[in-house]
Amino acid sequence: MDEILIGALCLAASLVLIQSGMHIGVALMLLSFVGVWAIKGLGIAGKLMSSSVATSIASDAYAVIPLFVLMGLFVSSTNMGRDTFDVAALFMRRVRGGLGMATVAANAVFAACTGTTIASASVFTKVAVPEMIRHGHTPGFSVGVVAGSSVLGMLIPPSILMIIFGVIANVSIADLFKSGIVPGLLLSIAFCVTIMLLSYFRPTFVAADPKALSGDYKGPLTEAPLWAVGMKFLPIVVLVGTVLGGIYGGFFTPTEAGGAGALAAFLIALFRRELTFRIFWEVALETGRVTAAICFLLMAAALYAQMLTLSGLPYAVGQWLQNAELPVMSILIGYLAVIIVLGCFLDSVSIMLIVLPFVIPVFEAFGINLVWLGLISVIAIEIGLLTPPLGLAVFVVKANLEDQRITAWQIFMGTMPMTLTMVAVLAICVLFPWLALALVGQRWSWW
Amino acid sequence: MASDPRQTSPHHDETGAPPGGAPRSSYFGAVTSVLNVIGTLLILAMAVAVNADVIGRNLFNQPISGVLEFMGLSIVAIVFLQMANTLRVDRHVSNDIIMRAIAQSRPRFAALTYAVFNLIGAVLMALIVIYVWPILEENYRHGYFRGTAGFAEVPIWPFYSAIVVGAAITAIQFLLFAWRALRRAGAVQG
Repeated sequence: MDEILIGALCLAASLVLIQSGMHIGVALMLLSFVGVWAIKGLGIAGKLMSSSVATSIASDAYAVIPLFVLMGLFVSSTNMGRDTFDVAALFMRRVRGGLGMATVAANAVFAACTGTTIASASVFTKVAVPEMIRHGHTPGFSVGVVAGSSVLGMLIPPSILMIIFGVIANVSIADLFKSGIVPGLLLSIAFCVTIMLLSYFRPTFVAADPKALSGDYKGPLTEAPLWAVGMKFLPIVVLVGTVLGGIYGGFFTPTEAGGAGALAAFLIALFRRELTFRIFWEVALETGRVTAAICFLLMAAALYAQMLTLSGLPYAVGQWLQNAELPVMSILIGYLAVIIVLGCFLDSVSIMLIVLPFVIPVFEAFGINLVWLGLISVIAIEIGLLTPPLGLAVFVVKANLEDQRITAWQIFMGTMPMTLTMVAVLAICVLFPWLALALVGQRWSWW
Repeated sequence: MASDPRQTSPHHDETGAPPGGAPRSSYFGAVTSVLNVIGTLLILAMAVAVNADVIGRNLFNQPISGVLEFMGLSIVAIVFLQMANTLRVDRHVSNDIIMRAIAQSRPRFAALTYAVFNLIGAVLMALIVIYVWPILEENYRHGYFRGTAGFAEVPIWPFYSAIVVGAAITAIQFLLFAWRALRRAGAVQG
């Protein structure tokens, strides 16, 4: 049988099995094994499988994953998310739609301590949604803002998705982290602008009674003295400073920043007297499970990438694209569209693992900057987290809602303005690569 | 995740119990928990080691050698030590929205499908055991290590044996789930 055909069949079969509910890692690894077997024989398939399991992730670059997960879970187990939200709400109290903006701002700060959207979404569903609903915002808008702004978790460093991209594409993780800062801030501002426009021009979407929007927010910190507000904000500033300052101050590598961040988060939780041994152990166990799930996917992806290479399928696709003489921009737009569509029914890590082995050689041949490619890929994948039917962020929000009368559909509708905002920011970042690359110190542009 | 880090899976919200959920306590569950605890301790050891290295290097100009090698090997061991327990509490990444919908109208078909998927999972884990065993043996026999010779030698075989043990236990867990799914398919019919 034709080798390219074998590769294509394995790809198609794994997509079918994944959609039928088979574990993604199992489906990907087994079909890659079968694919290599069909192309090169059983002996090679076994050798490649054992090396994908034993050596593909055996490097300290991957050890950062449990460390950042550990840090994020420590932070999430404390009330730091709530404190950050309270402080943000205090500062925004006179602004129309300020509570929504406070959610965005708190999410942006919180994102600098966690590497996943899921962590941000679950924390702020519990913290911000009840508060927004209590102040007269519609449930749809409240959950929509939380789900939408939770994507900042993956964009603002540290970010698990960027680590995975960096490892697959062989790009510096520190550079990827830096590239997310400006677009992350840009997206936060764009979210705030969207909220402000909505509260002026579509007030009934934001609040059933538009009077609720005009300031006068009473929160736990309204009467508090300034030093008390500062104390609420201090821990998270220390934590963000440790991680980002440590990396960019040259004290440690991004890998070590995960360890240092986990230690700092642990100490802060301890000082706040919010850490019992039970919580500590539960956090550690959960870290292990998240790590196992992500890393098994990475192992499967390593074998899958080798199977693809052996089949020659990515090479054929690349050749075909080059012969078609399409402009790079149209290939890029096609790529982003595919990612966003895949995001409707695959989780973000799987999308990266399945798509990147195809596109990286192609884009490299076109001279595209890979740091920038990583950044726009992360944004596009995160858009998929907000779109039905499998908007992961939306389901995390739903799972953490106290009011179970709010349907997934309501959340999707409430998220729609945020999703459109993300598409706009994605377009801006595509058109102006320096937004991502300025802090990295790399020059690359379309023009 | 704020107070209870376990509530992160999007799949648990609607029906409560996951499709592959295990009974709360059993001897086999205890085995998976032991591996889970070892893996968890290894994560904590990694966090301690990396901080010791950072502090030693920056404050005392005294880096700790072998930390990077230890972390690189540990991450592989951690994955397989946690694998069975992660499967047991249904936290592996899967997308079962369609199958859940099918299970509403055709529960027997869905149960049989899950039985087949679990059997395939067991086969995959068995393959991992079969193909990693020779490299474990080789590393053990020759005493291969990572790091600098005579200075910071991290032996490889303990980490690779974690792969073999973890994969074997995970295979058994898959078989147990397959067996239960088959019984469920039978019960629905009868």
